[in-house]
Amino acid sequence: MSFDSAAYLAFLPLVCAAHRLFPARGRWVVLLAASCLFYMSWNIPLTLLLLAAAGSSWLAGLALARTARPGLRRLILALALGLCLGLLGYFKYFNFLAQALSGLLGRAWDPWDIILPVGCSFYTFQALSYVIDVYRGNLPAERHFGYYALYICFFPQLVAGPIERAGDLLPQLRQARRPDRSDLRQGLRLLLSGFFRKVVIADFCGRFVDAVYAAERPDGSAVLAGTLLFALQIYCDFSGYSEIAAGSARLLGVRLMRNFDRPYLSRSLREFWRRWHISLGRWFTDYLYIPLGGSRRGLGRQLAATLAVFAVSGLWHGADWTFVVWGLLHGGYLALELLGERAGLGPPRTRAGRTARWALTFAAVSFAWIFFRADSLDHAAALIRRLFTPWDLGAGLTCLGAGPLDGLRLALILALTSTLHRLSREEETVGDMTCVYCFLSTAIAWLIRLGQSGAGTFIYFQF
Amino acid sequence: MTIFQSPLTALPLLAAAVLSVCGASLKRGHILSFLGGLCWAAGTVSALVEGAALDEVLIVTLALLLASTGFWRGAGR
Repeated sequence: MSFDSAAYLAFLPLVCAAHRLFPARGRWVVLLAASCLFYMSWNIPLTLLLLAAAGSSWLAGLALARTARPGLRRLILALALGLCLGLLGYFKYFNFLAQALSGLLGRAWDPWDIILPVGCSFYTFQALSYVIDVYRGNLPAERHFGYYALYICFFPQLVAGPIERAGDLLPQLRQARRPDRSDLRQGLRLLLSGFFRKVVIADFCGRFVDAVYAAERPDGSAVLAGTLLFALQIYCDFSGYSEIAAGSARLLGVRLMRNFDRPYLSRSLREFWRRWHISLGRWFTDYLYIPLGGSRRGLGRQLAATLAVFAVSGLWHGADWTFVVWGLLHGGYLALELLGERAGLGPPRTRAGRTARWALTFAAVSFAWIFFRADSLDHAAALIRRLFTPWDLGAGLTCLGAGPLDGLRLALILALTSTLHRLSREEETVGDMTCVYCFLSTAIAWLIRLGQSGAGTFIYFQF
Repeated sequence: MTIFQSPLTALPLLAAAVLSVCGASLKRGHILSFLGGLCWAAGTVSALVEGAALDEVLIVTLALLLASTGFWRGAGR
C-alpha cells in the first residue's frame, strides 16, 4: 500500500477514526495493528521478519539494562548489531557482494532470488540506533514490547523514514495524545503539500527523466535537462513522501522530525547535507562519523572518516557500484571543501560570491545525481561523455518528448517551488484558496496520471 | 492553448486570475479570493464541456495557485 494509492486514502481515515475512538491506554494496539496491516499489504511473511527484528533489538535493550559488566554488555551489543546488520546484509547486499567476489575470482555468479523487504534499511537503522543508545546509557531500555514494536513498525515512517530516534518517538507513542485542532490542520497541510510534490511535480519530471535515461544515444542537452529534472524529481518525490509521513503521523497526534529543509538553496556541500535527508545525516554523524574520530583527531583522520561515511551512505542507498560512486563523490566534495577551509577559503562575503558558491554546489550535487540515476557505471560514463559532445537542441527536445504545454507546466512548477514550503511549514500562513488550488491541482494531476502507464511509486521505497 | 479560444471559458478564467491576485495581495481579500475560486469553477466546467484537455486545466490551476501564493500578503486565515 503506497502512500499515493487510493487504498492508503481509505486506510488513513479509518486508522485516525479508530485511534480517536479508543481510550489512550489502548491506542498503541490500534497503531500497531494498523502498522502490521500496512506492512502485510506488501508481503505477509516479511512482516514476521520485521517483528523478529523488533523483538531481537528489544531483548538486546533489556539485556543491556540488566547487566553492568562491560564485557557482557559489549557482547550483547555485538550480537544485536550482528543480527541487524546480518539481516540487512543478507537481504540487500548478498547478491552484490557475491557477484563482486566472483568477479574478482573470475567466476560466473547466478544471483539468488532474494526479495528485499520494504523499508529494511530504515527499520534496521532505527533498531540499531535504539540498541546503541541503550548501550551508551543515553536512553533507558523500553520494558513494554508493544510500545517498542510500535516504534519500529509505526506505519507513517516504516517504509522510507524519517529515521526517528527512540528518545523522540517512544515518549510520544507512550503518551498516545489525542490530536487537537492544530494537529489536524497541520497534518492536512502536510499531506496536501506532500501529495502535490509527488503527483504534480515528481511524477511529471519523472516522465522526461525516464525518457532521457532510457534513450540509447541521448543528446547532451537532453542529458543536462534530464539530470536537472531528476534533481527536482528526487527532491519532490522524497520530500513529498516525508511530508505525507509527517502529515499522517500528525493526524495521529505524533510529531515526526523534518527531513528536508530546502536543500537546493545550500551554498556548500556541508550545508546541503544538513538540509537533505536530515534524519539519515544525523544517524551517520552520531553512529559512524564520530566513532571513527570525527573532527577531533587531525585532518587526515577527518578526511578518511568523511570518505568512509559517504561510501557507506552510498551503499546504504542501494547495492550497486553507482551508489558507491555517488557516495564517494559527495565524500570527495566535502573533503575538498574541508581542505579549502583549512587553506583559508572562508564563506564568500559578496553577493556575487555567494551566488557563485550556490551555483557550484548545485552543479556538484546535480552531477553526482547522474550516478545515482544511471543503470550502471558504464551508462553513467556514456551519459557524461554525451554531455561534452556538441549539442543539437532539436534532437534534445525530441529525446525529452516535451511539448509546448509541458514547457509551460514546468515553468509554473519551477516558479512554485520557491513558495511551496509555505504550505507545509507551521510558522507560515497561507490563504485558504491556496490550499484549495493546491488540492485541485493535485486531484487533476492524479486524474491525468490514471490515464498514463508507468506512473512510478516513491523512489526511496526501493532502499 | 485551446482553453482560451472560447470567450465562455476564457473570460471566467481571466476573471479568476485577476480576483486571485487582488484577493491575495489585500489584507482582507478573502472574499475576492473566494469569488476567484468560483470563476475558476465556472471556467473549468465550461472548458471541460467544450472538450479541453485536462493538461490545460491543470496549467490554469497551477497559474492560479502561483498567483495566490506569490502575491500573498494577508494574515493567516
